[in-house]
Amino acid sequence: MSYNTAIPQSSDARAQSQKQILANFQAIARVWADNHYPLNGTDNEFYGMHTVLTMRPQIDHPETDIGQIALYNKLVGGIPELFFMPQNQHIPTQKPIQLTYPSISTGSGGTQYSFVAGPFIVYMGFIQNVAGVPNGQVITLMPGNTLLYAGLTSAGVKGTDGGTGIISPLTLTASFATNLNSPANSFTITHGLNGINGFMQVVYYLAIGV
Amino acid sequence: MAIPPEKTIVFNPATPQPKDIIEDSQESFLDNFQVLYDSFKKNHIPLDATSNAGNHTNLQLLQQPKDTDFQTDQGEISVYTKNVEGQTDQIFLRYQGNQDEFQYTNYQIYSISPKNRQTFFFTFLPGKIIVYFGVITPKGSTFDLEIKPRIAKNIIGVNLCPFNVSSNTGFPLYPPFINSCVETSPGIFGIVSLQTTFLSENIPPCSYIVFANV
Repeated sequence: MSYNTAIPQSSDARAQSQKQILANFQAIARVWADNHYPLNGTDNEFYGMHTVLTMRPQIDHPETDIGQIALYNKLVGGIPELFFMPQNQHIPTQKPIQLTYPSISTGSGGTQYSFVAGPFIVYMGFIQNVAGVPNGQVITLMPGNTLLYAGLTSAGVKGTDGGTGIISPLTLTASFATNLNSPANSFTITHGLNGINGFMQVVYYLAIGV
Repeated sequence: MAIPPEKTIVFNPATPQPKDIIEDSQESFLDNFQVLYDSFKKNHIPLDATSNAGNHTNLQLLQQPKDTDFQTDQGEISVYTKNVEGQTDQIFLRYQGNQDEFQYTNYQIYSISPKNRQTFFFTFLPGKIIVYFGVITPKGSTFDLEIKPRIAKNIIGVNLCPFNVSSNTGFPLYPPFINSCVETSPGIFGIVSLQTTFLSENIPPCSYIVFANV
């Protein structure tokens, strides 16, 4: 039975109210047990605390009064995302901030991405080729976003200059990210002076997109 | 005279029973209302507050067992905490449709005192990624960039950006080159070994950022 806020009535028979009050107490205990330490739990130190926060999507961004913030779930393109709302009721310039991104890919691979509030997606990884990372190699980052920043750092050398001599980092410059977003959500690895033949074996990248 | 033990109040969802008279149920009613009140005033605005009833004041999340998978239906997000080995309790998220959970927060955030021509800061990205950053001011053609705390199991990204110009040419200096990422203990990377590029220029002062899996 669901919770009934209109009981007992003054004319109700005791037997009728007993069932209704019992049902209300059971409903309260059952509903509270969702997301919270149970009301009939054995340790009252934990009363009121949460086990999980399951958030249903909100249609509108909430209003927050002075001294308040709100955490909530709102759909973005049909996907639930976690939002932070600073106090906005009296300070309209305070806008909601999206705290999550629809996906994440982290672990132990050479191509990973995560996110920061905004939502900005943060790509990090490395391009590796024992024969040398080619000058002009186009790197496309997924999931697709408009890249706002890309930076490269070189590591490892091929070893010899096509059989003509030993290559040392001292003769190399660096690799640079060029042609940002051309084509979309990509950059081009461009080697600097003396690196044009692709002597770098590893190029680490960091990129941020939105 | 002995002091009676303090009564433990417990919510009773099975009250009242059919044959109870008010005298039978009155105590359990009081107990239930008291537990409801006590529970609601923790983490929430109290039931008898004159305004904002229903709002949260705080959100204390009890540690959940390691193998807990919360049902997360379409349109929902679940937020909860679990203990992480070698760290403390951290926040986890599970996206709609019972997707794989991921660790949202990670370790602590603070800075370490500068040492050996290097400043040390670190923070995290969701997904068990630690982000080390700071500034190095090397003196010479090689430099061991230390990453602290030493909990990096896999270095996934390194970015170095010089912020000086050459005294000879006035042009910006080239960023250093990575010789190797060095394990300082089995399976843990603690040093990124740097070397200057392009002839004999020393490694310029650089800002650095290192991404690693923990």
